[in-house]
Order: sequence, then structure tokens, then C-alpha cells
Amino acid sequence: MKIQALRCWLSALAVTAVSAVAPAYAADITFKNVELIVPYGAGGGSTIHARLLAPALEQALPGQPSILIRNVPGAGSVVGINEFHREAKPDGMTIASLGTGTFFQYLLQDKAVEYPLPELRPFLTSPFGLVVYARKDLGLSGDPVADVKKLVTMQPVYGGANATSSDLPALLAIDLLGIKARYLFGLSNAEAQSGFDRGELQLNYDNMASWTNSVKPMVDEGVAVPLFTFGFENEAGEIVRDPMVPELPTFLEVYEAIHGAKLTGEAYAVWKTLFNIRVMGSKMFALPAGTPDDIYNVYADAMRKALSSERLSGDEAKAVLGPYPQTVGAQAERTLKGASVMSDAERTWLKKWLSDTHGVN
Amino acid sequence: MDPTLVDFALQAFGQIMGPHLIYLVLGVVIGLAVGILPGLGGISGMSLVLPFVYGMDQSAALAMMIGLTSVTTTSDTFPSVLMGVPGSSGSQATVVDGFPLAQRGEGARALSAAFTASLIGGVFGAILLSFAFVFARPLLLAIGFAEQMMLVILALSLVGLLTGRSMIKGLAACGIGLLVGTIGPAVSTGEFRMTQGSLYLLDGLPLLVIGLGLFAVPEILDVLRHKVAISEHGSIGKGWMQGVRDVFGNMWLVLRCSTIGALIGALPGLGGTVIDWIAYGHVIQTSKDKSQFGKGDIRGVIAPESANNAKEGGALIPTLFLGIPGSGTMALLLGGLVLIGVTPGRTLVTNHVDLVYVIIWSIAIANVLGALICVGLARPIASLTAAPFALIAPFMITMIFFAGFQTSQNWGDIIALVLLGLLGGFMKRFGWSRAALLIGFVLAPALEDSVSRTVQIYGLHVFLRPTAMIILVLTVVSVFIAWRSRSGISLGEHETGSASATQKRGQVIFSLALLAFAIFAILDTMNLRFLAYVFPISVALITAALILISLLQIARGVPSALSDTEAEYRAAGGTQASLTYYFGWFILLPLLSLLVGFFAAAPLYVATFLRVLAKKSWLVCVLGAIGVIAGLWLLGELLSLRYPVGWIMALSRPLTGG
Repeated sequence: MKIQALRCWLSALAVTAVSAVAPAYAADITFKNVELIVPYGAGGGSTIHARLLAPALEQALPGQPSILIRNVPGAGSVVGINEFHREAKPDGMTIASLGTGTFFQYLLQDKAVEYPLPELRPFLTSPFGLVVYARKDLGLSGDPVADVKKLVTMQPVYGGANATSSDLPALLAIDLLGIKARYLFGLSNAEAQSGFDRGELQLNYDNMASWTNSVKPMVDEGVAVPLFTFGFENEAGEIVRDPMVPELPTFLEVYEAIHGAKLTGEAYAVWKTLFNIRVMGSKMFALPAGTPDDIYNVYADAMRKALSSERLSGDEAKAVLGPYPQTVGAQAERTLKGASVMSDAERTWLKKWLSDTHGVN
Repeated sequence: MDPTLVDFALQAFGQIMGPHLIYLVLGVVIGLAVGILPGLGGISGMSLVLPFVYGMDQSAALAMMIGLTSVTTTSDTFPSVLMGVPGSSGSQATVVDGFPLAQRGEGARALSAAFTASLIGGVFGAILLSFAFVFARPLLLAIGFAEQMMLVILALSLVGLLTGRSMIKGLAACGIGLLVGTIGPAVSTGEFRMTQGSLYLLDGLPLLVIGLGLFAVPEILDVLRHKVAISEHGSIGKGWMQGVRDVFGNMWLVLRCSTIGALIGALPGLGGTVIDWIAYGHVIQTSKDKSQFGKGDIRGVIAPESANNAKEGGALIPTLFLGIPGSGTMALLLGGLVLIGVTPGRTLVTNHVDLVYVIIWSIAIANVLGALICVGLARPIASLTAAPFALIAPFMITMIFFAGFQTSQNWGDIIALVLLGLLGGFMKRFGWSRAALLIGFVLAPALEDSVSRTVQIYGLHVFLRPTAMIILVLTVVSVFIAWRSRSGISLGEHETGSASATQKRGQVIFSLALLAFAIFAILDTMNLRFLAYVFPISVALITAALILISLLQIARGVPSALSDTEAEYRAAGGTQASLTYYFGWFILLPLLSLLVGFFAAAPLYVATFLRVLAKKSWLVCVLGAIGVIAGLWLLGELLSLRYPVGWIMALSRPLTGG
């Protein structure tokens, strides 16, 4: 049993005796045992991310607490983050890792969601790019714009989880380019990857984490051609080419080349929000809503220190975090706002698109 | 083999037997420890070591992680054989014959046979892995969605052998299992089925909870009611060497089941959790004398145990060579590899041949070590079966709820466990095959997904795929053999007497309850989109028809359809308290937990149980309570687990820091 839970139980015994518990926030903030809730299963990317970063953060936090990672999977992260919101006190003793599902279910107003997402206080965001690619044996040349034009004339088979899962940004991008794919849903990442490898699926996307080890080898063997990346937002707020594969055009570039005009209006606003979620805010560490600034700042400073530590500068760290600059503190909070707030008009647009294209109501 | 490869192999062997042996042993010990406890498995073990892996020497870290994952399926045999509690979802089939053997006083024989079979299976998996350089890619490329569908159908056809005495009721039970397996999201549309707004059901029921509820709960209550100790003879028997001889006498069977295990572990589509049942179906199908299956046939232990250890080597093939994890443990292993700076995938074989051999040797050596340690432990642990059962039962019941709760750390696990225990008890009483329900449940998602994918991609062209057709032919042959040789596979069911024929009320009511569930499945899913309802409604219609036929058979008094073990027991003059009474003792623990939380309830429960049912002295009761609390605390600390929170804790929460 965890120490916190044991303490909880012990104090339950003394429930009548307890009169008041003084607030734990003193001038010098130190932590003993911090719990990190990861709302996905133990084998997933969020867990790996957490396991890489937590030890470095432990060292950088005052009091060098031990950070216990607890996986609370279920309902695409909703179970874990609900629990985080319900039970974590704003005292810095509990933090959570937020994932893509945390955002989509919130934005689509899933009834199960209990957490007020924009009020959570993220102190770290780890961005990660996306790449969309297709089978070369469809007759593709390797010139992205020409290839997309060709794909518009056929019906490539796309395999993924489902329309409201983390596939959503890629699905929207593919549809906005005018590609009318045949969609095969219900596949795990691994299944989609091997289905593509076998040629049963023809259109796929991947997190950039897979670029070096699974996508690039397929490109080199002549099995796949990359079409576009989602790009990356620099500090000036411009969407530039992905630092991992700068030779590939971004989605917005390809869109403009195909349609002869920039993506604008509600379609752009929705795409940008999904981009914020899937790329800029791909993984986040957050404190509960209502965490006071002094505690928040301790975490932000510690995270900054941890990121420059030796442990997080090596090749192992690069394999998990990629070449993307990590954002900490106020910048991370801005990323969360940009990814969790959507106007009613945009939401209506997105729901209509989901219903028209994928029959999701 | 390429001479340089041999060099690499020898060099890796030297590394493991030299400086890294200590890490391998450490991994093996942790793996055995988590394997022995139901509810914990490779995933918990990996979570335990991952924080320490960073910064370790690559081969040392690998030896530890592989050592750990290789042996959890060796030690999980202990609870399966000795207590009838599946130690993990991979050793459920072992229970069917292993537990009757322990009850006959042959626990030692069953264990030594299981460990020997595990050893051979594990080493076989390692050998296969070392040849996988050559065939991994072409093999995996040949198994497309169409072939996966045929594999699932082949697996399902084995249910024909596990239906028990009444084929109609067995198939209906399988149908119910398929329906229970569709609870949760419809993968193709994302719509939810039969969840009734429950957040817990959104991801479907966990397999382990189903296995514990259907198998462990009814057995424990039965033993508690009828017997003084698990082993009827009051001793654990000799038979150490007998068990080893059993394995060598069935070497051909061991090799076949190892091949099945390794292949299914490597291939996409079926998943590791059904391997033990497939091996079990295989051994029944290929045995001439089937009369002892379910009553304690040693072959029923050997087959699943050799298959589930061979699976680990097989599952590493896609994990290492393609970077595609074959299971949750493998996914975590991939994460571990990344943390020590090894990126798995196609580049692994070209860049790190040395590490691949470290892995292969680690599997082989870990399996040998694990089996030896288990054999050493078996004698003291097996003596539990000779101890008074009332003394062990409270700890087992605590363990079952502990295991159930660890699957998703939700109160829903506990509720599901109680309800499924009830279902399992009635199925046992009224002669509905629990194994068939379980297989249906395991295969439901695989069947639905693969059929829908195959229809969408291939349509009728599936019949032009040669590999798919070969598997289909195998299925037809398997069904034909099953049909011809059906006689005498009762899977341990009692013969029915006149009491079952005269007292039909309970049987009819239970059948009607199952029918109601099938109708509920139809009503609940009929308003969803086509891809979400086509599978559950088709299955529900067939299941409902089968239940109606069995109702008709019960009404007409067809002997194979009749069963009511409780009526038989009373008619034979049994005077023990009713099962309801013992079920009450079973659910006392969750009820107490509801009030004060599991951590406080468990010692209270153990003490009460020991005092009232086992009639022990207060000292023994207090010691038992202390033992439970120490065990739970230690596990919680080591693995950072949580336990169900009770009403008092929830009340006091605002006042505490937790």
C-alpha cells in the first residue's frame, strides 16, 4: 500500500480526534512522496515518457522526493484524469501526465469527463511531430504534391483506431486535402503498422518517434513514400517544417499547393486546435486545478533544471523526446489553453465533419 | 549458420554465464515472485525494475528484463494446480486438470510435470527465436487479416471439444462468452455496447476477473464446504519423479504444444491469452483415451504448460525483429529497451546481433533456472494442500480479491468478481461449460475484428488466398475429428442421477436468465450503427436459439442436458450448510472493504474467518491478521499498488493529506 493511502487510512482511524490540519505550504517548499498518475496502460508512450523524465525531476525538486508512477488506464485517459481531478489536492503531492485522449474527450464533450481541462496547470509540454505516408506501389513518385493529387483520384485504404481517437488530426488532414480514403477502424498502432507493411493498408500516419526505426526503413526499401508532416510551431507562432525531417513539406504547404489557397476559417481553427493537441501538447505534466503559484513555480523551475541535467541530454532521452524543444512554465500553460478551448462554432463544425465523414454522432 | 553469428552466440553465452548471471538471477527471482501471485504478472515485474534499468550495462539490463518475463508463466502454475486459482490469464487451462490432481493428492506430480514441461517449452521458444532471423519477416508478412480470421475460427473450433456433456449447452455458453466479450466499445465505430452508463465497463471486463470468478470462486466454495483439506489423502503424495517421467513419456506432445505456443505467440491476431486453451484442446483432440480429462489427466497439465512458456520466445519475434510488441509485457520491454538506448525494430538485427543473442541465451537459461527454483520450492508450497482448508481459505479469498482489484484498480473489479463468481457457481451446478464461456470471451474481439476487416478488405476474394485456405482446411479437419470422437469428454462433470431429472425448476430458471441476457444484448445494441450491432445481434440470435433448444431438452428430460449437482447432493443425503452460506462468507470481505477499505478489512476478515469457521485460538487469528496486513503493505510499497477505499476513508478524505 502506498504511504499516502496508509496515512489516509491511519487518519481515518483518528477521524474524530482530528480538529484541523494546518496547510502544508510553508515558505520553504519541500516534497516527500509525489505521485505521478499516467492515465494509460503500462506499456504505452506516456509511461515511457514519464519513466524517462521522473527520475530527473526527482533530483531537481526540493527535498528530492521519490516520484511514484501509477498507471490508471481506462476510457482513453478519462478514468485516470477524472481520478486526478477528484482526488489530487493542489499541494504538489500529485501530478498527472495528460495525453491526446484527455483533450479530445473534453473537446467533444464526452459525458464521462469530469475535469475542467483549461484549469489544470501544466508545467511541461513535450511536442512531437506527425508524418503521413502511403504505399509506393499505388504508383506514387515521391513528390508529395503530385502524390497527393494522385491519391485524390483513388480510394486508398486507411487503417486506424477510430475517428475520435488520436487518429482524428490525421483523418481531418487527409480529408481536407480531398483524399477520399476507405477507412478501416478498430486497429491498434501495431496492427496498422503491420497491415501497412503487408500492403493490406495503403495510407498511414505515425508519431515521429517511429520515423527512424519504422517509417524511414520502409521509405529506404521503396515500400513507402512520405507525404507530409504536421509541421512545428516555432516561438514566433509560425508553423514551420518538422525539425526531424525538414525536407518534407508541412500539411499547410501541401494544402496550399493542392487547392491554390491557404486553409482558412473554421476549418483552419479546428485543424490548428488539433495540431496544438497532437503536436505541440503531445505529452504534458500537470498539477491540479487551483495549485497556488508558489508550488507551481517550484515545479516549473525544477523541470527546467531537470531538462538540462545530464540524464536528459543523452541519446536515450533523444530517442524519447526527439529533437523538439520542450516547453516549461507559462509557455506550457499557453499551449494547454490553445489546445483545450474551442469556440461553439468550431465545435459545431468539427461535430458536423465527424458526422458527415465518419458517421459519428 | 554464419560463422560470425556463432561467435556472437558464444560471446553472449560467456557474458551471461559470467558477470551478468547475477542480474539474470535477480530477474528470474522477481519474475517467479510476481508470477506466483494471481493478479500480478510480467507487467508488474517490469514496472518494478524499469526505474533501475537506466544507466545499467545494456546486456546486464537485458538479462534482467528477459529473465523476468521468461519465468512468470513457470511459477504461475503453483496457484493453478494447488488452489484452483489461475495464477495468470495464461494458465487458466492448467486449472482444469491440475487442481483435480492436487485434490487426489498428486499435487507434487502435477507440479513437477508442469515445471519440466515449462522448461522444455521455454528452451524450445529460445531455439525458435534464434532461427527467426531467417523466417520472421516472410512469415509475418504472410499472415494478413484474412489469415488472422481463419486462425481465430480454427481456435474457436476447438470449443467443440470443451463443451462438456451437452454440446448444445456448451455452444450456448460459448455464445454467452462471445456476448460478454462485446461489452465495451465497438472498435469499428467507437460506440459503447451494454455498458449501461458504467465507466468501469467502458473498456470491457478484464479477462483475469472472468477467470477468477468462473473457476476459482466456485472451486474454493466447494472445497470449503465438502472437504477438510484440498488433498483428499491429507498428504501431497510422492510422484516427483513420476511427473518428470510423465513429461518424457509424452515428449512428442510437449514438442507439438511448444510449437503451437511459439507460433501463436509470434503470429498476430490471436494473442497470448488463448494459447493455453488451444494447447488443451489439442491434447484432448489427439488423445485416444479422453475419459480422464477434467478429472486429473496429467497430459492436461503438460500441454498448456509447455505451450505458455514457448509463447514468450515466440512473442519476442515480432517485438524484436519488427518493433511491434506482441503483448503488454512486450510493449513494456520495448520501453525498457529504449531506456537503455537500444531501439528495437528492423535495425536491431543488423546493429545489435550481440544483444539478440544475449536475449536468446537469457530466455533459455532463465527457463532452466526458473524451473529448478520452482521444483525446489514445490515441496514446501505443495504441503499447503494437506493443511486444513478453513485455515487457508481466508487468505485465498483475500488473494482473489487482491488479484481482481489489481487488474484495473477499480471497485468495479470487485463487483464483477462477485457477480461472475455467482455465475460460475450456477454454471457448475447446472452443467454449463465454463471453459467454453471463457474461450468465447477471449476470442470475441479477435473474431469480430478479423471478420469485419476481412469482409471490408477482401470480401469474397478471401477464398483466393492460399494460406487462408490451408488454415480453413485444418479447421474443417479439426471439427470433423471433434465430431467423430465426442464420446466421453465430460471435463470433470458429475454424472447425473434421478434428482437432476425430477428437480428442474432451478435449471429452467437459470436457462431463462441466460436467455434474458441474450435478449438484452439484442435490445441494447439494435439502435447502434451496422458495424457495431451486426456481430452481437448475430451471436445473440444463435445463442438464444441454442438456449431454447436446451430448454426443450430439459423439459423432455434428455439426460445429457440435465444437471443439478445441488439436488444430487441433497438426494444423496448431504447435510452441509447451503452454498449460499459459504457464498455469504465469500462476500463478507468486499462488504467489510466497502465500509473500512480493503487494507483494514482484510485482517479483520481473516481473523473473523479463522475464529468462526476454523475455530482457531485468538492468538492464531491475530497472527493471521498481522500476516495479511504485512503482506499487503509490503506488496503495496514495492509495487506502488492501491487498495479499494472504504466509506470511512472517503468520509475522512477532506481532513487528510492523501
